[in-house]
Amino acid sequence: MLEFEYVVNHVEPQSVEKLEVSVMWYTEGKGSEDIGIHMFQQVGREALIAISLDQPRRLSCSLPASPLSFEGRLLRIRWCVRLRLFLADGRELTTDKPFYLGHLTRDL
Amino acid sequence: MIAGSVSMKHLSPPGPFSPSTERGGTNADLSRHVPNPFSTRFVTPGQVAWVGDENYFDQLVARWKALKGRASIIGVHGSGKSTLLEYFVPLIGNVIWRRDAEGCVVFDTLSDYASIEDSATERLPTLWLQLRRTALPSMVIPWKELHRGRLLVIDGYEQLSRWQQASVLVRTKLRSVSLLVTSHRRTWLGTLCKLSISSSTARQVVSQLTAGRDDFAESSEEEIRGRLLAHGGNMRDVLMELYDQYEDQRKKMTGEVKSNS
Repeated sequence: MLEFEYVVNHVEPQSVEKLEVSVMWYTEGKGSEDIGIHMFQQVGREALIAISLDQPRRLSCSLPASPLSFEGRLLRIRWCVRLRLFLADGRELTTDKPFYLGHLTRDL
Repeated sequence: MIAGSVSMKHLSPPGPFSPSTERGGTNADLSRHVPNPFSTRFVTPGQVAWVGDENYFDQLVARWKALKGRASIIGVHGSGKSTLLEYFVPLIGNVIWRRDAEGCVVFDTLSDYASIEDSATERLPTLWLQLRRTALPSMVIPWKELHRGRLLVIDGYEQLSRWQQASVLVRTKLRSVSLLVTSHRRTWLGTLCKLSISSSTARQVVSQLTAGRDDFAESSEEEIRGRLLAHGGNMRDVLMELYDQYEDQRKKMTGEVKSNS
């Protein structure tokens, strides 16, 4: 089970087009890359105006059994919570909070 | 400048098959997990900013027009042909369909164009193919979508047999389809440009990728020149080598941290 909270500071709700929260994994390394979205939530402008952005918002989801986090030389599997804020003027604000899923498996 | 900020924190405790910010150690360990600056996602064509004269693309567009919209970009492996396409194609075309080197159609708005008079748009509706040796080119070129006023981009034209190359030339010519290809050697098309990477350009690319990183000892231009020479001017291979170097460095540093603790 993953439980987390997020806060958006110094941004007027009116200036935000939408907000996206996803729990995801992605690969990183030398070869072609892969990505998987485990949980996705989108909050539109109307809903954002109705809520107070600078108050912590709490979310939770149960996590799958795989893929587990992996730290290899050629390949890494990384899990993170990604929050994307799409501003009305076209700018985008993104932040990732990484975490490990399972006992980390490392390349020897 | 973006004034806002977002922050997150985990609430659930770490444990087996649950998220953990720990790696049998400390949270600081995780925060050190910065990505390798030479990972695919940073070095893939289009991710690295084009290094060169700012008028270069104006000259290319002028030459493209002079060649009447049928041309080739020539260069060895890893000389920046695909990277050039990423920046040049949007100047002359509007991509409506794209198939990547893995064979996946990654972009498709063909149906939106069904009712649009192509000649009315300034940039040519573009179909873009990346070929690999494993591809079956005759099967993947969407011929029924290629008609007057459209642009076909083929990245990896040398993957086609001589017969297939000739067929593409004739069929696109007969349909009045513009054609832009990348190839390792000269083609029957006019040459838009011939690419090669200088050590200075290579150095700038490496600097761009490692900007703001204090965890990688920057390579000198002399060292980059040596690497380029060793790889026959193939920048992609140089970046792969630097990826390994970074991993060696990381492993060494992790080992040092462990032995100190």
